[in-house]
Amino acid sequence: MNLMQLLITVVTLGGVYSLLSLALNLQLGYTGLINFGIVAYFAAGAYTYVILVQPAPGEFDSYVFGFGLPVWVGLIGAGLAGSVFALITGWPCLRLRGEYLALTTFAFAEVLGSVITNADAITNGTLGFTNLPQPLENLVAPQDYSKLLAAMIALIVIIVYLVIRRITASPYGTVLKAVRDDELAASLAGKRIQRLRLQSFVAGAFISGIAGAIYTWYTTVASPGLFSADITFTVFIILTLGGIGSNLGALIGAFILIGFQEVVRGLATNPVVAERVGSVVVALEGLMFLLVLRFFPGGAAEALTRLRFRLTAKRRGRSDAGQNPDSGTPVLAASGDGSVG
Amino acid sequence: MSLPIDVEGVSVQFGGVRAVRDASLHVPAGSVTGLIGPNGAGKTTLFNLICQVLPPTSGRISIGGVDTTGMTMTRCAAMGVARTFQTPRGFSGLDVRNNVQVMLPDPRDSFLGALFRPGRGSDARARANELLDRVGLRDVAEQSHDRLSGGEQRMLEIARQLALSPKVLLLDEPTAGLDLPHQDRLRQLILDMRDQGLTIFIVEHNIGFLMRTVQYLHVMNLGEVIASGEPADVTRDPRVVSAYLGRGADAIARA
Repeated sequence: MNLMQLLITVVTLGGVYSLLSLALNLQLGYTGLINFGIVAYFAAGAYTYVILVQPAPGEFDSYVFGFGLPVWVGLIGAGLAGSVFALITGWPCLRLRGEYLALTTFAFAEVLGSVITNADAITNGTLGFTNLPQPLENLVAPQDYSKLLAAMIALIVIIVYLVIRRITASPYGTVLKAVRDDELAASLAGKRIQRLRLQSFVAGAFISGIAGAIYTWYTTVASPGLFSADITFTVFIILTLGGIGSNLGALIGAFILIGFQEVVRGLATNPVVAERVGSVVVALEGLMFLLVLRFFPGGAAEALTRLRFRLTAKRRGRSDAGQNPDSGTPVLAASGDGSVG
Repeated sequence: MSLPIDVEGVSVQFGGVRAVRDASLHVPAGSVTGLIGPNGAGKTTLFNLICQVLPPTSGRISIGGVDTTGMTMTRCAAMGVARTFQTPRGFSGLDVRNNVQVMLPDPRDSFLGALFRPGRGSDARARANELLDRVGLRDVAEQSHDRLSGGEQRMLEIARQLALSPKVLLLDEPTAGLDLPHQDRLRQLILDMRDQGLTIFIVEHNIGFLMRTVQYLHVMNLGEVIASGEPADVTRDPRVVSAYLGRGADAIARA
């Protein structure tokens, strides 16, 4: 595997995961919502996109819907599908806190997975959809398409990153953080907690839905097996590596983890090696995860902050470079218990 | 315009425990009023009832003549009822200035506002700075909330409540953990706020501080209001002395 190929795959797949980790960061990092069912919104977006853009069914297909709409309609539809599913699931669940919310969202994701597998008429069952068209595929020669795809995905990631950064840096972002840190104090300040939590959840699901659509550009298939809980866990690992609460960290984490996976996969040149590498890579990921949690509990974002702190301290010639700057907020531990003094 | 607080025959029951029993009291508009009583007397519970964190089992609470019983706490807060907590609360992930700024109502802090009109007006920042000046925390405005001392967090909590421009302020043990200079500063702040028309209701164990600060005093014991009136009279009430103050209190009160 050459370097260019590796880079293209990392940008493409890392881009898809970046969108998911940015979405989760909005929900978890900024609002304290432990969404353990993020794959559901991802899958809802992917399937909706496919159903909207694919041509009408042929003679041997068991699915009923295929609208042949343009790609951009499919993209917006994918985002909306994620949001609608978030509204339906979020309305009842968001009254729950912490691990209760995590379990409920996880259960909803399993339910959606089961629906996708069984609703043949809509999703074509376990077979799913194959040979999906890729956007702008006639624009370049087939061997160059992967570059175009990587560029399109990179562009979308940049746009989403800028939009999210704008939202989280605004007064609204500060309000979300206040809700995360102390719900009771925030509601006594007149903030409408339920509404803010739902907004953040739905906005995150919109981005997850778009990520789902884009994922089908890369895979050219949509089948139930692609949307397992593994995706959710990967996104949580990415966000932890990057630093919960940091948008830049979410991006860095995604590219580090996907980059690592792809490099290791690239090393496996024959099936025997591949099998061994496959089992070692999971252990190595686990080790990496533990080391990050031990030494940089705030993830890559914390490492960056420390580095910047050290550099500025050196420039000023101060001796306090040894002190740690503020680390990332331990969101998981900080989910309010709502008790009143 | 100042608002009085009226609590009429309020009771609240937690399982088999009646934490507040048929309590009635009046906090005059624009006054500084104290509430004392032994631990577990129901003082904080009464605060929770007044700001609707807890619904009463029976009875009626009104603020400025408006019945607030059963209102959501967010709506009650919107009426101008603010409170601090016995253990200071705050937004640990925000810096000190943002802790205050986030409390200021801002039409732009909606989701769409964030997309199309981000950036908070400099007036909000100026107002936050002004409030931090009032509580003496301007110098640490950039620090994270976690790094403040307990006493500073207490002062910050008051600044955060003032950002809501409340009409009624409930302070739950505001002097706990404050050194004497800060107690003086707090006392001055409370008197200033009263002069600006706030109604202030304080739960406190620091009798010396209360005697110098409040105009009226209520005493609770075992969920009941056992005495109300001018501080000097109340502290001489034999029931208050036996339930709470003990015999040494007279000396403290005179000091």
